[in-house]
Amino acid sequence: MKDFVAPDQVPLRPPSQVMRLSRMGSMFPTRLSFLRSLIRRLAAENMTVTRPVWDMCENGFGRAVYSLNLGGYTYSLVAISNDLPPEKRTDRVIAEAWDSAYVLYDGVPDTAELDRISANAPLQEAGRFTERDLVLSRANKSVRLFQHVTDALRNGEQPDGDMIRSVGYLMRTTAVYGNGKFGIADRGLIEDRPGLTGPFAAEMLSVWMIRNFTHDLAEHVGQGTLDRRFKRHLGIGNSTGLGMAPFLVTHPVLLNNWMLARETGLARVRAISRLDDTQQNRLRALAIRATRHLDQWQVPDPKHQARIERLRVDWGHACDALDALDDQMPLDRVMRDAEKFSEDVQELMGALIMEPFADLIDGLTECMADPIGPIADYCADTDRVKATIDQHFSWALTLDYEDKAQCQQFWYVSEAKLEPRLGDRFEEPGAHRESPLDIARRIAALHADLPNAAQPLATFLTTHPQHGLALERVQLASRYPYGEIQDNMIAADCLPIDMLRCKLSFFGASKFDPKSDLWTRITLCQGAPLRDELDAHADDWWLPIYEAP
Amino acid sequence: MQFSINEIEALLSKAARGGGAPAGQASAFGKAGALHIARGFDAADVQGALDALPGGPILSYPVQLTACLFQGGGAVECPKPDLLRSYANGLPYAVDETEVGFTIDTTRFEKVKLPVRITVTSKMIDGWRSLAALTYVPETEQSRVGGAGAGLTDND
Repeated sequence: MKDFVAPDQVPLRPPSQVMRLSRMGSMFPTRLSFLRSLIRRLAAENMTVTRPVWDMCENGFGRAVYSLNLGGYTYSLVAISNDLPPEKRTDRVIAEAWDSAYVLYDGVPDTAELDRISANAPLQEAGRFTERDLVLSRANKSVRLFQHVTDALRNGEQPDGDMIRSVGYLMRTTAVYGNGKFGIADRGLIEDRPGLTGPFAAEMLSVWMIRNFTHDLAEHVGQGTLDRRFKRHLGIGNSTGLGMAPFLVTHPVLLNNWMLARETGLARVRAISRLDDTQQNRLRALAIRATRHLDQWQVPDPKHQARIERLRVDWGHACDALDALDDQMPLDRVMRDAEKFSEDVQELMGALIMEPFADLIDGLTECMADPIGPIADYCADTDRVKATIDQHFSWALTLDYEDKAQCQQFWYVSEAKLEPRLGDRFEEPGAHRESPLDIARRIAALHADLPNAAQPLATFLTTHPQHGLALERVQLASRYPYGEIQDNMIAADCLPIDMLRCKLSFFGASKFDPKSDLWTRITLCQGAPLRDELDAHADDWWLPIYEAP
Repeated sequence: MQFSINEIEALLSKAARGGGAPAGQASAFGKAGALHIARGFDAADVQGALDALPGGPILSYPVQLTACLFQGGGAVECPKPDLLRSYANGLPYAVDETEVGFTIDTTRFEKVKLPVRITVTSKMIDGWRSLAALTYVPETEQSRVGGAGAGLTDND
């Protein structure tokens, strides 16, 4: 058995640099992204997807089942397509009906199970599910593109390429639920299964299969065959709101593991001493691809479009650093050069330089889950707590949380739909029921209450139970240095969209299309291989670009 | 009624918070409570802890474990079965039975295997839901329209 020798790496970028919301809100997908690692796995297993059930009327309403074998287990996507009146179509969680509903099922459902899922999946949150149901999702059509594509196919034509390019999906999911929600299986049931050990692997598998379904549905309704290049470009859209944001605060171990894997990957490629010609050419080709991707990234919001346009210009200049790559540790130099530009440029460059180096990066995906649970460095007394705060949380101690601007927002769960929301503490009722996402303020309050003379921690916790959560976070900080977002989550200038982009980039999302500071549309699986394309080239779809047929 | 473990954990955590427990202790209780019921112990232990708020086990058990854990684990006296043991089993460490309680060994990692479903009576669930509801904020027109950031219709 060979000893494992860790690759060389430069020092990691510190959490104080990486764990800021503005930088997290500048992230791009990388080869560590969950969809990428899933597709690699599917390709490595030479995956075959079958469609044992296709029971659709000519208008595309009915049900379908897709099945595949992964890691020794069989999974099936059950898809239910409904006739949804236009007035009921909304992407918000407050919706009660959708164009389509999905369950990723453990095994192959028989008729009775299919009937059970068909009755419950369209109800979504109002339905009830079993441990055989691994993931629950729903999606709405992009009405204009779906209609256009099916009309074109019905006329024996291919759809308009510009529409395919600009919309980029036939349907968009508005929720993808896992881990026990509404009675579906706990993650614990599947977390040891080969192929599903990574974070959100079951959810990503569902999304990829839903995307395949949307292609089949359009071809069924249009009674024609969509050009393969169009299908490759048509991913699955997604609308993501505040519901996703608290996850990064409430899962510090996972956040640490994701960010640490990414930073370790970056540090490894920066330490490469020399690049051969093939590697240099690959990097330049990827830079050109990134340039074209940015050119095709158009959003309606003027503020974000201006940011993209700024990125295009800066990216062009930053890529000059890739012209000559014959020097010592060239990628470290490239990243240092990128620091002259915005965080958008820096994060894009970081994603780019990791892309050609599968051997240095891909193994890190094994470190991105949380199979054990949080392992704390327990503090004996309050002096140790104080020292840990001073070392890891100095960023939280400099803010005045009495200042209106530093506490203006509060997170809460709405009674009506049990969805996370964000309110104005001074304008809206409910702050007394605030969700505990105000980590920075809690750490500062703990620090302020620590006694001058050391006290056993158990004694302090008895007299100050309100600091239980802050103490827990402090005791995790040494082992999980990338586990805390180093910004004030209740400040007036806290932008949840930054959290969404961070998490979605780990999913593998691209084409971020923010609709406000609180929610965004994205596209998943754009450029990803189709179900009959899981071959040796299946992994080459970082920052996909539209190629006209 | 049957539930996933995560459903019960989340519900108990919110119920504890609704009952007056601080956030950190409420979260630890949610995990321990779900584990307790999932392993076949008496759900009445869990209900009793909630009933004892704003004091009782939900506040005292984390203190007891804190006193043990900073020493790298060790022996904890506790009758059997007891919710305190489920708190320990919720940690990532090995927990071994002793004659008077259990020991926690922080040098060994172990994860308790759980069944796929938890059965809880409707009466208990209803009570927990009522407590959890005390953490929810009633909807206003302002929050409905603006709190999640999107408009009420969103088609393309």
